[in-house]
Amino acid sequence: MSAAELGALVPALALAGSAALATLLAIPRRTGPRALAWLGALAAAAVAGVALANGTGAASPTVARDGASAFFVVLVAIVTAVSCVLAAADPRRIVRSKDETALALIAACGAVVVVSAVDLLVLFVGLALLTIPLYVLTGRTALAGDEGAVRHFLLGATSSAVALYGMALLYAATGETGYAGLGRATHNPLYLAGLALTLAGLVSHVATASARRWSIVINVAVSGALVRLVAATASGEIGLDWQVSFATLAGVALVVPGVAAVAERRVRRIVGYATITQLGFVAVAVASAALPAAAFALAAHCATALGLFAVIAILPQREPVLEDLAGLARRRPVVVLALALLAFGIAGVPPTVGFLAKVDVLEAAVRAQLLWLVVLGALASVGTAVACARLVLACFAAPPLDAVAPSRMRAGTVVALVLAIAVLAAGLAPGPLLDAVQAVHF
Amino acid sequence: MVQVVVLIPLVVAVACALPIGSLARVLAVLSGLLTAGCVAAAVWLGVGGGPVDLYYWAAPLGAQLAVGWDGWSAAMLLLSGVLFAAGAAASGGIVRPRAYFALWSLLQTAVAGVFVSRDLLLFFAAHDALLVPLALLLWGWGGADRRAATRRLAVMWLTGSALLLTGILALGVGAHTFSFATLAGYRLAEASQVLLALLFLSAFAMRLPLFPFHAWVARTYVAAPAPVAIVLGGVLSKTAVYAIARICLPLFPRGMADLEPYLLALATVGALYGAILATRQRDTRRVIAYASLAEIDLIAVGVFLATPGGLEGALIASISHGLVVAILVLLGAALARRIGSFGFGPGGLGARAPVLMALFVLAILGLIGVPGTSGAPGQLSILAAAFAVSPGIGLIASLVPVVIAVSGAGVLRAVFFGPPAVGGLDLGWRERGLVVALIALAVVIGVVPRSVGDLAGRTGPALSELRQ
Amino acid sequence: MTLALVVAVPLANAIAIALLGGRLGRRTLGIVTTVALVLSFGAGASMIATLRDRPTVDAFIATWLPLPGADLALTVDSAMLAVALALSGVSALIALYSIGYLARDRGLQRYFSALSLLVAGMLLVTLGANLLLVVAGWELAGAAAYLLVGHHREHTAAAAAASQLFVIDRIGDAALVAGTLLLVTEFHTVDLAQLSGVALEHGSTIGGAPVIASVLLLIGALAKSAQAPLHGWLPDATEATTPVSALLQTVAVTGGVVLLMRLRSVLVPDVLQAAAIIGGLTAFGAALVAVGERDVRRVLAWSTISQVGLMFVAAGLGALFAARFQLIAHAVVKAVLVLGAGSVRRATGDESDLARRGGIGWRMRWTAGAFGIGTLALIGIPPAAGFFGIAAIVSAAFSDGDALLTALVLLAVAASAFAGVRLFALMFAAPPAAVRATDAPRRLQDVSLVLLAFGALAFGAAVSAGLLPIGSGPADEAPVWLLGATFAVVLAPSIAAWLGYRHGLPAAARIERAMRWARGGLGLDALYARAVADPFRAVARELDEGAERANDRAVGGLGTLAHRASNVMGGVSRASARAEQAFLLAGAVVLLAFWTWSAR
Repeated sequence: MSAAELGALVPALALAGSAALATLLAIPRRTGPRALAWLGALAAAAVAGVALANGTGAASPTVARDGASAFFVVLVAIVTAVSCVLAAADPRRIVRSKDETALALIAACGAVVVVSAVDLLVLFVGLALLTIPLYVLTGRTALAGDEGAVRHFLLGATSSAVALYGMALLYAATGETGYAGLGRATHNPLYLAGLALTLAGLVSHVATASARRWSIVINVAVSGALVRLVAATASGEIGLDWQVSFATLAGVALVVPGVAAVAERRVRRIVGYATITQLGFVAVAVASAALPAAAFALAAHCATALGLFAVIAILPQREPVLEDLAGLARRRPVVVLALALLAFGIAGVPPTVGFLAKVDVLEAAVRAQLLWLVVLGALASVGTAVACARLVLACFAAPPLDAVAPSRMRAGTVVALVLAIAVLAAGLAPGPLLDAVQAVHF
Repeated sequence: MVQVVVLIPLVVAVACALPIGSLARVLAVLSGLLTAGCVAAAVWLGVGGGPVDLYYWAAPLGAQLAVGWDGWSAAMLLLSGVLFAAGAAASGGIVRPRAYFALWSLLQTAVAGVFVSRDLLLFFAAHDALLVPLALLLWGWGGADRRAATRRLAVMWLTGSALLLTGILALGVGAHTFSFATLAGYRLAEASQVLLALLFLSAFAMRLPLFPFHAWVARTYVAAPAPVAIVLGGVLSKTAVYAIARICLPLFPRGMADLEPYLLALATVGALYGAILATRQRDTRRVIAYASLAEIDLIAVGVFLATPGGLEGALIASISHGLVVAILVLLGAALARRIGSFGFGPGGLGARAPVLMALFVLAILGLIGVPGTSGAPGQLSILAAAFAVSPGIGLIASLVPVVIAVSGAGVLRAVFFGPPAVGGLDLGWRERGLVVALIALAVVIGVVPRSVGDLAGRTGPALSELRQ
Repeated sequence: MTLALVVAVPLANAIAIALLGGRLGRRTLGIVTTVALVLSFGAGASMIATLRDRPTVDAFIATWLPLPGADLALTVDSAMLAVALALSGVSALIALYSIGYLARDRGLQRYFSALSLLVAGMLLVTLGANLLLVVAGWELAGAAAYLLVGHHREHTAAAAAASQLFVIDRIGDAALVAGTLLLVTEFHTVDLAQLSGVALEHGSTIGGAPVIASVLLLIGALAKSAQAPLHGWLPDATEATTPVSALLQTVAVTGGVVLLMRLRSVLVPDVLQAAAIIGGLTAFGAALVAVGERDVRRVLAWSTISQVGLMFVAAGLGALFAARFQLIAHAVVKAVLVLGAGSVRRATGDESDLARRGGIGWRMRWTAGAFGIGTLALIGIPPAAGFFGIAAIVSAAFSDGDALLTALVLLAVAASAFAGVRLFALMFAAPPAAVRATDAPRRLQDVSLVLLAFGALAFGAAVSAGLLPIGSGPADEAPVWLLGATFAVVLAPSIAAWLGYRHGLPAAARIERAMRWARGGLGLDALYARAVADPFRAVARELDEGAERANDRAVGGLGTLAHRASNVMGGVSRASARAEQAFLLAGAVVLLAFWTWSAR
């Protein structure tokens, strides 16, 4: 490994080190899983600082160290930190596992590698590092007998396999594994097939990740990787026309969840659909070749989705439906306030950051002459808005007499509130965030 | 001055988070009166005007917080302040007052934001943001049908907003700016003007509402509590009128001119349609809903005509309509308290409640546009403008007040005439006070329409470039 | 300034009573109102002298609307001054009468306020300097009329009549406003003097808009003055209390005539001709109905419609002096008749049906005397006022060379004479049907009656002697044989009626049977219900149940559609793992295919 590569991998190494530390610290009986989770959060936050300090530097053929990687790495670290806090405060865990923190940190390390990779093999290694611990995590937090974890594992494995197959074809077509080779290759069927399969594999990871807090890390990582891949292939002598394909993808990602959310009654699913719509907007930005807008939308997505998962964690039911939210307004008015702000953020209601992200992305689409996509996006967000409104309004209903009281979960409430305020504040004063995403360019 | 108009209700909304109990209502009334007073003072002294760039909201997006006011804004802000104060005063006995008045003040803030924005994105933000407190007020404090009514209202308005956003972004990106002042000088091709005008109008047509898009009106007026109905009919519909006059007409003159025949047809037919349907209603709230629809579409005729006379008439008629709707809703609520339902009751109430009847008659006369009431100057100007452009439209539009009169006479006869019914007291001093105050305002406008008409003249250069 | 007082005093009185009159008693309210109206009369009378030197007097008060010529200003010439004096004078006496008649009434604050408002409105119509003020006064009078007719709220028939009046009034108002606006668009001014000037200049080059405007203004005039086909409100409005009835038939109904007179040079000649013919037909038809009617109040109402029809004939023919004269005379005379009939009704237990009441003989001497004088004046026996007016109209029609019109006028005069004498005979000369408790009229009622009757007698003579400056006209220049023929036409039916009805209704059964078809407004009321009200209701019902429901369902249907689509799509995501894998691979294939295609 060269010095440049080491320098670029500093955040990943820090995370790996923290994971090792967490594994070691799990051995003594006295350290409980909760304490470990708090420590993991601390470590991830520290890594965010490290990444910022690391900044940009010399390029290497396998791992990039530019503004985009800095942004994404910081984002991954923050998301991991918040997720760890939520894990620490989650009262519903039946099986308390001490490995969870370590697994989470390893996954974060994988995510960092994924977003910084400029080589297909490195990308795959990072993907494996990212996804495998998350299968275990999903399985651990599930009740016994739940087939969701197995299904998740199967689909994830298929996706990774497909992506690997695509990468092999790309290697055959270009003769090298670096992204730079992608930009120089001619577009023979082998190349195209490889690219298609790689992208399909990556995207399907996002699609199959269930709506749990760890899925956000996957979202961020895959988005970062996609952004790089798109930039790499678009800058060749014969640039690929990403516009229509991503636009179609975005259209589907916008419309299907937007419509499906209208009649949905399960809370997790509603939030899941809304997050997919947000990712649809990210895809719109990619289709319009406006990468800073994509990064902005991604940041907005992270904040709102994490906050909503924090709120869902407060509910006592495993699979809450709308009726389970009844009475929340009376018992936990602060939580409902945070929920409202976050729901507005996801739906894109002004003056939250979600609105600005929507505007930014749609502006880019207009510039790219994708007016139909703009209309579709605007209309689809109506469906999301309606679904989120139902979510918020269900909290005001009167609870049935035998309702289970929501848990105290102070940390979760604080997290949700902080994120909600961040969503509102970023909407009112988006300057810093907008400046930060300007770094995402190639 | 401009910031004051938006900040005062915002402060009240935040204050409602504190445990102030019933003080919230007093604060809400004061905030409405204070904003109206500030605007009136500013108009009197002639200060303000001209856009004030506060700061860049999101520079890469091209959005800026440009706010300012002119004649139209000031008139609408005055109306808004008065009606919000009136609605708050009428909200006695509301459950969960702090939440209610917090939402009320937020709504007021958003409405004020609509009227002072000089930047399309800010306008859109305020325009959409006001839907949230409105929906919450309807959902939380409404009558029996509130869920369905709120859903329908929200979906229709949101769909319009989605198209509006598309239009705004398309325009802003193409012109590299969102500010009104700069956009006014930007000349687009005719085809794109038509398309953009349609996109913009879709949102405003839902909100007015313009004829075929009125499916939300009847249910919402029935489900809404009286103060919310006041604000809905009096102020929120005017945001659409304001938006068409302020945005669509100056920015897309040729597009609007091309669309004018269709728009005029829709508005005229809608006005007559609303008036005819009002004669068939047996619930006072639905009568008010349809009569209000007829009046609003008549105002829309004035705006679509795009002549100075038509626009001035539309402004005066808007103010008048807001006041009259407020009065009718208040009286309708008072009536319902005496009869026990919102139907017409057993009749004969005139003997027991002569003041109520007298005020009702005055309000209906104002709705019809009898000279001496506030409805007259606006309606007459609009009709004059209509006749100047097309006698056919003018004739049909002239029929609208006649048909409204039929429904008004029917309501009066069913409720107040006939053998005296049992029970029912006349209006108390508190009820009387609010309505009389509003009527006094209406009379002032009726007798001195110049006061409002002058405001219409004080608009920016964009509006005065319109087709004569 | 004095001119402004003529309108301002009744208007201020109306507002003052409405706001402050709550605690005042009946007498105070009534006297204040009467004094206000007398002041208005006085102010007008003081200008008689001024108008001998000048043709017009103008009073400018303030600027009003941003339209050219739309200022708060009044203008008057000697002709309109006479009309104004008649209006204020007669109203003052009616107000005086009300003090006595409404002795047991409540809610007199409303009553006197609305009464003043009505008079103020009509004065504004007469004296306003521009069309907008005329419209304003018109509408104020209409609103006041509605309030007055609906004054006794418990009275269902009056309530229905009030609603009907309201609607027809609105139709007239809408037509008036539309016509005004068309004129403004065409001639660019609302000032009446300027309009007349401009219209005269236009002359024969008048195009479509002034014709439509004239038609619309005519429709407005017809509605206000209860001419066919918009006459239905007046007979029904007599359900209201007597003074209101009197006020409507003397003051309110003159609106259309005044309008025609003031806009004489603006209206298109064809429309004026049409006005005359409509007036003539209405005059004849209404007089026939009056012959057949049994209800005293309705007889008088139809008689009013007939007389106003004659005024329309005069105005339409351009015989302004005749129209004026008839207007003023009729106001005084009809007031006597209606108020007198009201006194009689009160005294006989509120019975209006002639068949059931019978005559009351000379028990109410003053009333009977006044009524008798009034009848003579109405039917046109000299030297009472009516004769000169009728003669003037007949000669105007004759000199115009219009045979049809002359015939109509003469027939109307004949029928009107018959109806008038019939009424008097049945009310006073016929034997009483049953003895009822008398509610003797109060003194004020009698006083006003007497004054009015005196006016009826004296008016005609005063005018001929040139004492009253209402101008001169064809009455002075009519050929003697025409005057004689008119007198014969009046006398013959009168004598026939007297002989036929002097012994009461049963004795005249044959005549009654012959006139049965004339009752019920010649069947027009039923026609209206079928031709106007029912179709309107049907259209409203169709729109409500058809279009509105369809709209509702469409929007609701979209929501249901969205719900169903949502359920379908929700089902998609619950597909099995295998299906998802298949979807994944399919997506990849599609992607590949697209790129291959786009990269070639």
